Amino acid sequence: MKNNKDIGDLYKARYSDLEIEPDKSVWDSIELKNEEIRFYRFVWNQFNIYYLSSIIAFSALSIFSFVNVMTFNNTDQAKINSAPVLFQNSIPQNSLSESAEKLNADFHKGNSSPVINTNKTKRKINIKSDSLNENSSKYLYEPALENMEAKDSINKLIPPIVIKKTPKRRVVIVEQRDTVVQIDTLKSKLRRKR
Amino acid sequence: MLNEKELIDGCKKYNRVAQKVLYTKYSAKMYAVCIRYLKNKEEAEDLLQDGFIKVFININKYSSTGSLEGWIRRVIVNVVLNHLLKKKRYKLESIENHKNNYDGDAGYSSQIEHSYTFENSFGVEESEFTKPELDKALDQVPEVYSLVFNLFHIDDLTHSEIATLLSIDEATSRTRLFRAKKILQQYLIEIREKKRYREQLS
Repeated sequence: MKNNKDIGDLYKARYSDLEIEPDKSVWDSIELKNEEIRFYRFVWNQFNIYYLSSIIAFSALSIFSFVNVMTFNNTDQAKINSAPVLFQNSIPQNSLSESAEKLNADFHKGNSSPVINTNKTKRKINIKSDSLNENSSKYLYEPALENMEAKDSINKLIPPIVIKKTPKRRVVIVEQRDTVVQIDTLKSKLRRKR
Repeated sequence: MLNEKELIDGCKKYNRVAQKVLYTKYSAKMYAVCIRYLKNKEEAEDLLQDGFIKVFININKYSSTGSLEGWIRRVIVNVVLNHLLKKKRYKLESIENHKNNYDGDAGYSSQIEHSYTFENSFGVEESEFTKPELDKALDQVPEVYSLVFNLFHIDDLTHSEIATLLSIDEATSRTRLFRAKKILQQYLIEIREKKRYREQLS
């Protein structure tokens, strides 16, 4: 049985249910693109959780640091205003005691004498133990003198270190053919060796 | 196996499995659509990819009133048409070059009138032409006309929809459809005559 059809219907019948399998690489590229979309979609969906929390944390941190700076300045000022200043001479050195007395006199005429603790500190000195002590594996340190009053003798705290002085000598050797000339520049002596 | 509702819900949540199932289900049909418009394998694959990405992004806009396949087909067709409009390929082929293929511009109303009589008079038998013959005949039609023919007869778009999509008048859409059919008719008659001649010889 033959069925008369319009051209449009003929082509519709031909193409409407037509299926052509595409290459597998198409899905791979779609999936690749989807990963990117999924990421941005996730970011957008989680905006309230991540972005808002980070904004809150950042603003809290900035407020805290601002308040902290403000309080620090205030307390510092208050300390300066309220702290009793007293120059106290505890160092048995004439110059220091004089200067302390002078300061007291200058700054606080008639008032209760201000006290300043003048503590003597000394820089740490590292000395290799090889040449000084039997205990060769350690470095020797001078004991820290922080918070120790200067009236204590430094010799009492640390025994003096005696380092042997080696005689200074500078030798210049000049080789000239078979002659070795040794010149001691310090003693200004010229020796010749054959 | 996911049913259509689960599939849509999964795709709305950007579920990878649901997306894969959706692609597997409709990719072959949509690739055929792309091939029909573009006739180039690589270009069709690129647009199939773009189309499905657009489907996955815009699936929230799909209302369950129509069929999912129809909606996907419409998205793919839109992507293909946008691509063609960007390339302005269909505009490159001047309509003037094909004036000799028909009776000429005798006026819009007379053409439409003629087209209806032509449609009624030219009946073709379903089994008369093979699939390659139909493809070959459609390939002979200039793209400006075959585009409207495809949209109207195969993708079931109305003339107003075609006019909107292609940024043309409805009247132009009708005229292009008529011309496409006329050219197809000529080629199909030619093929039929050749077949009959061969049969007589044998």
